[in-house]
Parts: sequence; structure tokens; C-alpha cells
Amino acid sequence: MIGIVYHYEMAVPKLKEESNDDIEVELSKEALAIIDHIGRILAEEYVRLLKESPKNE
Amino acid sequence: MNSSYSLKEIQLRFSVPQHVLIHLCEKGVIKPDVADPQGRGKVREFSDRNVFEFAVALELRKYEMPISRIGIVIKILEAFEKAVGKSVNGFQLPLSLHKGPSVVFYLFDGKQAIFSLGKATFISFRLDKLILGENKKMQAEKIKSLPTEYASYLMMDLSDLASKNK
Repeated sequence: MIGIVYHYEMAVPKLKEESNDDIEVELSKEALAIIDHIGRILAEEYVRLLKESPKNE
Repeated sequence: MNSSYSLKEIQLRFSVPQHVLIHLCEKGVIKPDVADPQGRGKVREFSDRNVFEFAVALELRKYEMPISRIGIVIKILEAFEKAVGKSVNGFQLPLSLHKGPSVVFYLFDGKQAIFSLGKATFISFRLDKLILGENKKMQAEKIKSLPTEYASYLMMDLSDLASKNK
């Protein structure tokens, strides 16, 4: 259990500081476009890897 | 697939209080696919994809990740599903995810988010800059490997989570 707590403290110090920041953030159009872009990049790579491994299809 | 789940069923599945689930809905992190209450007496109904989204959100909440950041991760997964669906017929989260290359989400220092695909491709972006609206400085980029300068990081195996919540 001590090990788990130690890992947690090391892993997410910034998140812990922001734990009260539990507000809904309205994302800008630009941010939404970037999110869409990230989703598309991930999809392109995912589909490419799928095609390279026919057994996964 | 294509099942419908009530809030009570989701609550029992994840053993969390209903207010935690409602909070995620009210903050816009989870948008019920089957039925979204618009008036009195209406109840929320959720899809299989919503169940997977709850699983992701609740995992990240364990590490006190702010709602706003969890919302971004969920939105990226939605965009990913939509984009893959254009090339792969019938691709649906969570059922299809565990059949393909592994998808893992990493977070370093609460800021640098990375998705790894097939344990060989890494897509990196700054989650904090998206939240802060510093979009002009924000770019998603392919990197060759995970960063080595951090002693630890947050890791969530999305394929494994999908397998457990399909």
C-alpha cells in the first residue's frame, strides 16, 4: 500500500494541486478543431496498423 | 451491443454513487446516447459506448484528474471512433477496440498527454494548453518513444478497459 501511495504522489502532483478545479470548461472552436485533429491522427495510425496486421481485422 | 442502460445499472456496474455519474453528465463529460432528459420525468439512458466512457472517466477520477481534462480525453475518443468508422465498417467503441492494435493513454506531469498505438506509434500533445486556450502553440505530433525525463506517469490501457467493458 505504501508503494501505491508513493507512486501516486510521484505520478500526478500537478493533478492533485488542481483537484479543486472541477469546473466545466467551455472549449473554444479552435480547441475543438484540435481535438478533432488528434482524433483523426490517431485514427489514421490505427487504421494503418490494422492494415499491416490483417489478423487483427 | 446496442444495449440501453439506466443510471442505476451503471451505478451497480461500477459501484459508485449515482451523484458521481450525474456529475459527469451534468458537466458534459458523458452525453447519454440513448436518451438525454430534456424535461421532468425523463430519465437518462446510456449506450455501450457511454459505459466505456464512464469506465475511462471513473479511472481518471481515481487520480483526481479535473473534469475538464477528462472531458477532452473523452472527446478525443469520440473523434477517434468517428474517424476510424470512415475507414473500418462497423467500428464501434468499446467492442472493436480490443480487436485491433493496443491503444494506451499516458499522462506525464499532468500536462503531456500521449496515446500509444500498437506499442510502437506515439502521438503526443499538451493537454494543459488545450484547457488554457493556448491553441496556437498546440500541436499534436508523432514521437518516437515515450519521454524518459519523468520518474513516473499515469497510464491507462484503453484496449484492456474496452475488453472489460464490452
